[in-house]
Amino acid sequence: METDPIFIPRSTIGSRIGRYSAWGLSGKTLGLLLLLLVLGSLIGSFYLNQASQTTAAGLEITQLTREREYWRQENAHLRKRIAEREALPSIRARAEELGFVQPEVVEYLVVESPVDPDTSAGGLTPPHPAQRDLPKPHTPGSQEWWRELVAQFVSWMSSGH
Amino acid sequence: MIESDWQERGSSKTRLVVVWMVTVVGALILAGRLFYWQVLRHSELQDIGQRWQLVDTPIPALRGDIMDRHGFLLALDEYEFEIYATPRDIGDPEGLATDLAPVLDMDQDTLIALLSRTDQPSVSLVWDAPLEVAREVEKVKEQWNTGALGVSAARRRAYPEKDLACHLLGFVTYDHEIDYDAFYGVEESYNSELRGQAGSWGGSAETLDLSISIGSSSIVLPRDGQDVVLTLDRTIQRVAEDELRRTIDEWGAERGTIIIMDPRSGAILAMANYPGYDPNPALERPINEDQFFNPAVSEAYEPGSVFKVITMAAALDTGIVGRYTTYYDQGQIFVGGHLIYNWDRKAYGTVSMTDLLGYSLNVGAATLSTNLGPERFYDYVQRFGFGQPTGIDLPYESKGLMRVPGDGNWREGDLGTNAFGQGIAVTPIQMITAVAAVANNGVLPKPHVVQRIEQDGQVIQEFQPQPGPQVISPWVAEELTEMLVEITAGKDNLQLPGYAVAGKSGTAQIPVTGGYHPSDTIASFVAYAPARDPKFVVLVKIDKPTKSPWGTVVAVPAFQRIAERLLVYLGIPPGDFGIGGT
Repeated sequence: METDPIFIPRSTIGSRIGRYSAWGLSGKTLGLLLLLLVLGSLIGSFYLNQASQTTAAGLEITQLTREREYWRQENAHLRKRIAEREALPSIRARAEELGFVQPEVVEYLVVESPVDPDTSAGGLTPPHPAQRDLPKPHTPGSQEWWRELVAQFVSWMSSGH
Repeated sequence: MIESDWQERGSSKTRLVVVWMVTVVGALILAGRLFYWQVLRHSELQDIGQRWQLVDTPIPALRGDIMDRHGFLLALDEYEFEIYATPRDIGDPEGLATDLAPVLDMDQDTLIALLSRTDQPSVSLVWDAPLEVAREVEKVKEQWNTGALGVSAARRRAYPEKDLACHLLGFVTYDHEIDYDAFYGVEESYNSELRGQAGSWGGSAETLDLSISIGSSSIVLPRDGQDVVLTLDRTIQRVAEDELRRTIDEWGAERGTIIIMDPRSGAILAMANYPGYDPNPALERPINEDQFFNPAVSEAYEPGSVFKVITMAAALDTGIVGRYTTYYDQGQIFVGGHLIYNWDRKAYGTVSMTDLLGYSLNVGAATLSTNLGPERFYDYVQRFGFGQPTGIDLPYESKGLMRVPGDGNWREGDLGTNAFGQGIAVTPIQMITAVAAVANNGVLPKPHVVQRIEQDGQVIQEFQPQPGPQVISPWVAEELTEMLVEITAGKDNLQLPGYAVAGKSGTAQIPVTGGYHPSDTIASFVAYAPARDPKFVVLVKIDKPTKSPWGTVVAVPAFQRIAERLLVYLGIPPGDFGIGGT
């Protein structure tokens, strides 16, 4: 026996059951899903950003470590070259090239001026030219300058100009 | 009809159930295996993975420098490079060899053969290339854009002054390893300060050992070693070594030692031994281990007449004699049944204490020691540091050989012979330190070779001179100095106008099995100058001179030449022209 289809008024449908999307999801659910998607995207992009920064920093550290090692090698090489040039065999060879000879006879000359009393072998440093203070150049004071100027003027006046 | 429908439906349902059950069982098995591998064996598999992926590459620390007192480098680290190739990754060995052969200074055919050795995962082309070559190889590598060439840096110890002070410095063998050994000298005794601490780089790497920048990693930078500043003056060291070599050549000697010390502080200004060696590493050079020992601290010898200084010091300090006390020299004396005679078999009659030293009379020395008695004599000998290490900061120091009463093998005759330096063995460092005590107002200095330890220019540790015991009174030291000045003034081959020198020569016989060698001697001279304000004390010891056995002939001129140069170098003005030849 056929029965009539059940007819439910539209208003009843809306009020009792709520609105549905084309996929059968409510607006609320959809909004929640959208929010989750946005949050997930944010977290994901934050993670990717951090990861890429970490990677870049790691690459930079590796690069700097290599560079540091490069300059340590260069520095060690330079220090050795300097040490070899400063070594006594090099100095002796250079002195001989320049015509220096080793003295065989030492003659002592007595002079009047006193010698530096600090001659203890324990703390001795050979005399180094850079350590002696050079006399400061003479800077005339203002009075002296004026006197010179006056003297020049007088000289000029007396010469008839 | 309906019944057949139901039968069909029943068999479909059964098949469905069977499929469903098989699927479930399969899924359960899979889940079980996953649980087994991922949960139960998780730690083990993680370790295996990390072992393959994580690398821990050590970064070697540079060893500290060794410098002389003025900062000149005596030992420092440099780099050398191993150039290697992986033949399996080389597509064109001939082409690569064409570019590489002139850089490596290798025969091209030999290089092609090496680069073609695909049976080897890796071949070493050069073991110890210098920096310039390594940089050129890196350019070739870039040009070829190949990972088949590699440059590996390794440390090498360099000694720019070559054989200067080789025994005092010692040496290091790196052999391209992170860990290494230091042998002899300052390298060994200050190894913990010089060594530093290796760093490391730890992190993930892929199969070509290229680092994976993301993921856990750690870098610990290496801490380079501390620098050691010696008391040595390289110029004075060179003077000592030159004079030692000259003296040995001149007198046909076998070997020798010269030590120069500041008597007030005990600082070693020079320590030269012959023969020496070049500590710069050389793989092909044959190594004779005997040459590495430092005879100045490790080898004892019978000092001979130089030891009379100690006997006289003891006699003066105890007051049994004074400077002008005399004794009657009969040319021989019996001590403990042992006949002792003068070196020239002569009798000198009435002799003063100064003349005892001047004529170097064995009978006189034995007379003093027997008058002192064994207890006092050996007490003074030990006070002067004999029979025990001086404590110098070098390895393998010998304490010498000295028999004292109470030892099972001491004989009364030893009291006589020890007085003039026979039957007792001392090291050169002991001998010079004992004489330095006389120069230092009776205070025994502590010899040392290191002045301070530095790191990056900052002083970490400074070694202050440690005042030793007062072994004789200052007055006795002064008296003995005047006596030594007087006897030295008479030497024709020691002329330093304006300077007083206090010294004593010695000619010691060398013990052999059953007695002493009939002709071989050790010729020595120990002296300090200027005598009344000493700035240096020098010991010259020459072994087995063939052209003359005498210390006064062989060793004194060497001291003269050294002293001349030291007085000028150290800027010590002459002070006493009234003494004339002294």
